[in-house]
Amino acid sequence: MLGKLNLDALPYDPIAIGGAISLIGGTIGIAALLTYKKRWGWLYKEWLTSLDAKKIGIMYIVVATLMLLRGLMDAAMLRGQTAIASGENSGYLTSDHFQQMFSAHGTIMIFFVAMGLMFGLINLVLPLMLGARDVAFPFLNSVSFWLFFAGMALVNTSLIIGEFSAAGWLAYPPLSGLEYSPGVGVDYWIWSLQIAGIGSLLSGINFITTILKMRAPGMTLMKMPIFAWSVLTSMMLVVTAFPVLTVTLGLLSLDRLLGTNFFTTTLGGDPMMYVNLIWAWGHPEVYILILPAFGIFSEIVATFSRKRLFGYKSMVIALLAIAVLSYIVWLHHFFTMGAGPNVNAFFGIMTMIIAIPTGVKVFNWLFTMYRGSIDFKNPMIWFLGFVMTFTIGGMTGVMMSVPAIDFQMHNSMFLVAHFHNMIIGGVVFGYIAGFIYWFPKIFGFRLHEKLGTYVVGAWLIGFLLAFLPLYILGLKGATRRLDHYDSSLGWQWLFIISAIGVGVILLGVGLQLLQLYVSIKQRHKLRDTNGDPWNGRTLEWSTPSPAPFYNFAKLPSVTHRDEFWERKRSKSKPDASPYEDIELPRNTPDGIIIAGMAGAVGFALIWHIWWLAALGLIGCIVILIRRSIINPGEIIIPAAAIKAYENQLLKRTRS
Amino acid sequence: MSHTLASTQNSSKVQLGFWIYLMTDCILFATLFAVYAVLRNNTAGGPSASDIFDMPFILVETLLLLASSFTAGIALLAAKKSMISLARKLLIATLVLGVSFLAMELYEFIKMYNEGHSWRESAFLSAYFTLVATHGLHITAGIIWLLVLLPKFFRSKIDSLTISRLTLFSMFWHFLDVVWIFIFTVVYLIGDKTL
Amino acid sequence: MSAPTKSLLQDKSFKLYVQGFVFSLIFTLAAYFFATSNTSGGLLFGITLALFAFGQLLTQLICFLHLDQESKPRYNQMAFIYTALTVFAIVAGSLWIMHNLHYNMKPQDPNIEQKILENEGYEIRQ
Repeated sequence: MLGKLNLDALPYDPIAIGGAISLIGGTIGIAALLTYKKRWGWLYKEWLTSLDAKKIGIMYIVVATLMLLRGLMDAAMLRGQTAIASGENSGYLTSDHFQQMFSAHGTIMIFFVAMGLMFGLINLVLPLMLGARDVAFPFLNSVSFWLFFAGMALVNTSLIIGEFSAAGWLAYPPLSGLEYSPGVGVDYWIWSLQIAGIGSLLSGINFITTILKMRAPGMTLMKMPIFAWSVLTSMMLVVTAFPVLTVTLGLLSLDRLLGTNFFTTTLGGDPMMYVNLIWAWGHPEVYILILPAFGIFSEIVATFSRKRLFGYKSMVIALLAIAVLSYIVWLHHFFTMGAGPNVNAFFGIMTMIIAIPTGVKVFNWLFTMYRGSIDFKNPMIWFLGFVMTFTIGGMTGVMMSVPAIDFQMHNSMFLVAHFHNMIIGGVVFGYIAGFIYWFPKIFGFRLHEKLGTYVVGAWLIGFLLAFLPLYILGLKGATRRLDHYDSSLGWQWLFIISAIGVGVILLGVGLQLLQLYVSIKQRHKLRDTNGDPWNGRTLEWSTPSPAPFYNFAKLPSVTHRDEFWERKRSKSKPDASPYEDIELPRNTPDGIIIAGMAGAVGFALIWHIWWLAALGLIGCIVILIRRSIINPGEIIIPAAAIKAYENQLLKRTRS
Repeated sequence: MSHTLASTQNSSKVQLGFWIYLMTDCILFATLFAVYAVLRNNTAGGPSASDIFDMPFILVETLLLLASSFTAGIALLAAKKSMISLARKLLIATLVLGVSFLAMELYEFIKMYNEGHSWRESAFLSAYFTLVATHGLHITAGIIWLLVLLPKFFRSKIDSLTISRLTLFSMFWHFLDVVWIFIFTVVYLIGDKTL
Repeated sequence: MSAPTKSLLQDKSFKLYVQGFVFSLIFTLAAYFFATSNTSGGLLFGITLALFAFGQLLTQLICFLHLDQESKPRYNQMAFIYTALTVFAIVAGSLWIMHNLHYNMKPQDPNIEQKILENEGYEIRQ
């Protein structure tokens, strides 16, 4: 009846029990608070069933932030372990638990933090930037978010029921095969990624269609804000790379469920094919994450330098070049797997070439700043931190693109330092900067500036302390995923510095939460009264803050690249045309139901509960068919109501 | 904005979105093809392609699918010209051809399984069954879709929404035809021959 | 013949569908008989089959999916070209990488070291 599921699946060792209790406690706490404040109905009606891209965006960011805290806890435990586990001292984590933790850390940080923040920010601002009322397919957007949520829920379920994968964030076979990982950990990994991945794929389709079809009249592709371009190229990579992940995970699960021989070491299976395929997805994935961050920084640099972006066209070309080139570099993740010199040389050279468009961007940003009147607001300070760390990371990356050097660095702490340099210094800094930049547009007030400066300082110093020692350790021969080392190696002081760095990052995140709290307390003082707190350039700043649920009362028409900036400069008169009715999609719980069923299917396949899997699948199909037959239709907001609401907003601005 | 304009814009949006979905499916199949091509000679002592494929049988399957793609295309054309009864007949023909194709594929699978050649036997057979069955699953989805769509064609009038859905269906069906052509060539015609 | 039937038969896309169907039959049968009569394989065999498959692909894209008739902006065509590029990179890249791996790591052949040395043009001194 319940497949492999029985009481043994509950956690027994003290640290695992601690994790489970804190998760259950947190969930119960939130539920109790909602019940006490009688907010369940409000949550359901206003948020969970909402198809408003801005609300979906906020939900993405909330989930991603919670996952960031969990991923950071994992990181702190890992670096804490390596700081003390030298020689006689074996630390507080067992080897198996250590492996589960770094697998969970990688998986959560990439799939549920970075991807979540990315989709969150895109949802918040993309339609506003394009002068559109919503994304192309609002219902699909809700399905995407809830699939992301279901994947996240599965990862966290593994804390309470069963275990998580101990096979690393990409679960190479044969280690992740049934023979060496007979437990449910790898299955949790597979199905949480599979479900979240399908959500990402659908988001990719949605955002591409939004950009190609929903732009305001007059906004040609070359008049589009550069952030929209970066999203377009990133989503091109999403829709072409994620199917590869779907197949790769699918085949691995077939190996584990049905006894096929794709990646086994017997009967003709080829584990190296898995490595090849997972990186054919994995390399584009890093560009999927970084390109929108590039877009965010491009907007920020132009806004805070009071200049138009230098080299817009070269920026677009660079983005497109990356979209193509990122498909012919993936072998650099496995130079040491045994390919011959011509293959390694080809992919090494391609990797060096892909650094060029990225370098073009860095120069474009610097030239945008050149002779600009730079305003050192928080987002701009994040940008400066980013340029520094990202350039270091980029250079170590080019170093490792040389196959001969890679043979030395491969699988070492040097590599760990390199990709954290790109992902924290590039992706995370970019998304935090974007969050601060667009926060007033969504919530109507700015974040506390001074506390924000301390946040940058803590992140930056913490980051350098945590990862520069890892470069040195890597050169000294410390391998990644190392949970214990001999004391005669003399590595301990470096690991201790690294652990202190993680502590400083944690302090930064604590300050960030404090900043949020203080800003909410002082929201009247920090209020954004005219909708344009930073003297912005693009259309999202032409709406009042917080942006109304219909985004634009009248759809704007566009004649310039920096449309809003040009309007301010030419002091153009506001659009005097009469208001019209607005059609908006009706809220629906179908997204939650579909994702809930998908999550149930995932859970059932992990524990071999076949009837539940069949039931969930049939449920999904039935919901989709029902939705295609009974069209939920739109709600229409009459022009008079819009007019009244806009006048009210205007009055508030004047007062 | 007048209502017709809004609905045309909406249908062009949906068609682009669906086309992008088809492109993602294209990559999905391409990955399976890559896996098959890499593993096709890893028979591990089991049967190879020429031992188990019944070529005339496969040719009939292919012709059925090609014919169903043709009837689906003409059905869309007829629906656009409001020839509902013709569209209905052609869609039923598409359905019958599709179901026959699927039945033949299942028959082939069951026959192989009963002869002791399952997906567990070798990497080649794993890749073969997965690639062909993924296509078969898509065909199944198409058949369910057609069954949902078909009742609309038993009325005297069809609305623009039905036509736009039929357009999407025919795109999907033609796409599956294209995928099958590559399965036909790569899996069956090339078989275990060295290139 | 009723008026709608006539208009259907005279429609440009109807003709296109019929042409497409005929072409697809020709390509299928030609490829089938070519492949079943050939037992040895070889590069020429592969290229010929690839050409038949390519002809079939074009037939389907033009006659059935009407990809060439798209009006500006041609997003579907652009999406298709980008996808085709990616497919090529993934399939050809995977085959190249895996073939090269097997060539360098082949465990079955006892003389592989000798063969690699010869293939790479090294001179072997006794």
